[in-house]
Amino acid sequence: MNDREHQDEENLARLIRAGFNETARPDATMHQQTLRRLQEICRTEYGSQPQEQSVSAKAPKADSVSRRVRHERNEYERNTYQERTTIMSKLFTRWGFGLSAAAAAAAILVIAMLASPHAQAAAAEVMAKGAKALAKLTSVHLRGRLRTEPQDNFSMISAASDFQTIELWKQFEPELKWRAEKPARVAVMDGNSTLLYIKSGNLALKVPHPAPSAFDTGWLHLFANLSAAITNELNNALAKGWSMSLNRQTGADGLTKAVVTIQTKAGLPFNDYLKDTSFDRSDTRRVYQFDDQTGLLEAVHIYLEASTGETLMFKLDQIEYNEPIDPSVFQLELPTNVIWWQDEMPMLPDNQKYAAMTPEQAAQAYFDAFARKDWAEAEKFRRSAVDEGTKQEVGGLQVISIGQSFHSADQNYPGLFVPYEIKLANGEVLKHHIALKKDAKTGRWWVDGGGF
Amino acid sequence: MSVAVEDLEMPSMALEPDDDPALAKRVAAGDQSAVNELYQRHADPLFAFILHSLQGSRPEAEDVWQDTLAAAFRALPSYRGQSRFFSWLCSIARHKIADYYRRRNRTTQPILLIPPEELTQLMDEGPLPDELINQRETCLRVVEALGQMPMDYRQALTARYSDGRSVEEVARLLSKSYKATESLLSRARVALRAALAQQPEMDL
Repeated sequence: MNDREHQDEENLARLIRAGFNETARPDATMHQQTLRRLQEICRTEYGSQPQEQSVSAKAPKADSVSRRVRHERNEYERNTYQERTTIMSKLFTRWGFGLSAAAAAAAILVIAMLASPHAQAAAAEVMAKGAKALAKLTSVHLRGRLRTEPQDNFSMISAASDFQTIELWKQFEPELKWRAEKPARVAVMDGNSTLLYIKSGNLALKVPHPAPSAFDTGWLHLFANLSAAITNELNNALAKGWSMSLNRQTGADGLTKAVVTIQTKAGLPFNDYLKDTSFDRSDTRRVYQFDDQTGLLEAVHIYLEASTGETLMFKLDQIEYNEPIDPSVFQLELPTNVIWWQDEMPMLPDNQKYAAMTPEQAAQAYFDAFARKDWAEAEKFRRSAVDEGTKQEVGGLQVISIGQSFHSADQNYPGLFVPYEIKLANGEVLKHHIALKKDAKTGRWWVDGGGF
Repeated sequence: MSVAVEDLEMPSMALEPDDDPALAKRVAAGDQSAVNELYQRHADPLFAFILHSLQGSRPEAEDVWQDTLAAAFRALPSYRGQSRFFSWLCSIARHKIADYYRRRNRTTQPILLIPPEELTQLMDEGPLPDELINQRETCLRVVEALGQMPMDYRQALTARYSDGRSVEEVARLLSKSYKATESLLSRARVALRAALAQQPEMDL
């Protein structure tokens, strides 16, 4: 581009910014109110039938993306730990294969007919039909896009982040196997064990069981195991007052689509530290689209509903059913220098000194160790070795301040958070919260995320 | 079996402004999905047009915008496609804006009631009235030109230049390849320049 063209483009950009900038657009609430009003007018004037509102306001302007990237950069350890606790405490029971799809579908219909209004029952019926359709599957491959960071936890979402591709391959016959993948993170269950590899930290974690889902991929497995999804959504709809609705519309392919919309509420305060960091910690609008003839799930969109507006967070629109999956998909080769997650923290000779620390003191000691480049000391607060990249990046830091610890209202998370501000050797200042959790065996605080 | 369905959020992406008369007919025939499509296509630029017309007064712009849309959707059967749909919307908006000023003028405090010492406080070093008018006229022309462009042109231009996204980010936003997005932006720039060049005194 020459100078003249560059100047032309600058002028054009200036004009567009002046005419159509972010502040010259209605907010999400205004959009919703206005569209509802227009729909009502058209119902009155033209006798049209109510239909699913599909407008979505534009995503709110990202607050500081660079801050967010820094925030998420080295949280793989926390993610890994959360995944481990998830395996132990949640996934086997929560998203397990306890019910067959058909049985679940029947149960759902009973629940819906007994306890919910007509619209909700109709929505449940469509989902149950989808569950029956999925019961005949031998394999499924889902490919969607999620607003998240490439290396982050599979369930972690961030409205400030760009879309990343996320995939799930699941083989039901002859043996259950699966693989979940996003740009810097992959999890594989090969029929014998379940393995997680985080590329950015060269960190691996192996569970010696063939977990039906693991490492916080449960929410993604739901779309391949719709009976569990429906059970979950309906139970929550009844217990928490979530609303469900059903609409039918003509798709781009000319066929009739059944669209089930579920409004979910996480029940967390709007300013909670963990609010909007995963779908189960967010208020959402979930839109499931089914082929009305086959009952098969065709698409899923999940919108985050925050005080700043509504943002499309997850878009699943590529679903392959019963396509053979190459066996190599369920194999994962690890680098020879991979860093393995420690299942247990070792007892130290001077363990009592560390066990007696307050969370604030532990945070201070952890950062001080990085300041001195004392990696052995830092690893007393970790469940994995410090990798070379982290050493280079944050070694020699300077602690500016350590704040008071606090808990999230999400009682499923047993750790706490300590605010901190540090200055890296390159002069960059990081202000964030470190997540600490107390190890039951040693009594020591260890870094569960928000640090490095 | 492979299923790839259309974007649920933006079903009208493929539609060009020339489809507006057809959409309007569908609304008037009771097709509720067309209400959403027509709304998604024109609501944002119409708001910008009204906001600039009202010199950035947001609460008033919201009221006028809603009234304009309501009036337009009630009057859809009278829209025959003689003009661009967005131009038709803007003409209704101008009437609503004129109504707004008439109402406001009835209640505006006469300037002579403001004490002379306070008048000096109202002066600042911002743009002169003529400059403000020129800026507003420019904004209105840009918005009107953008409002008449195909949806994908407008989305690409605003994402790239108003929201400041990189070409790569725009490509991801529109689910297109980098090259296709560059090409789309190039065509959109040409179209916008052409639309603006038809208007007098636009410095490109």
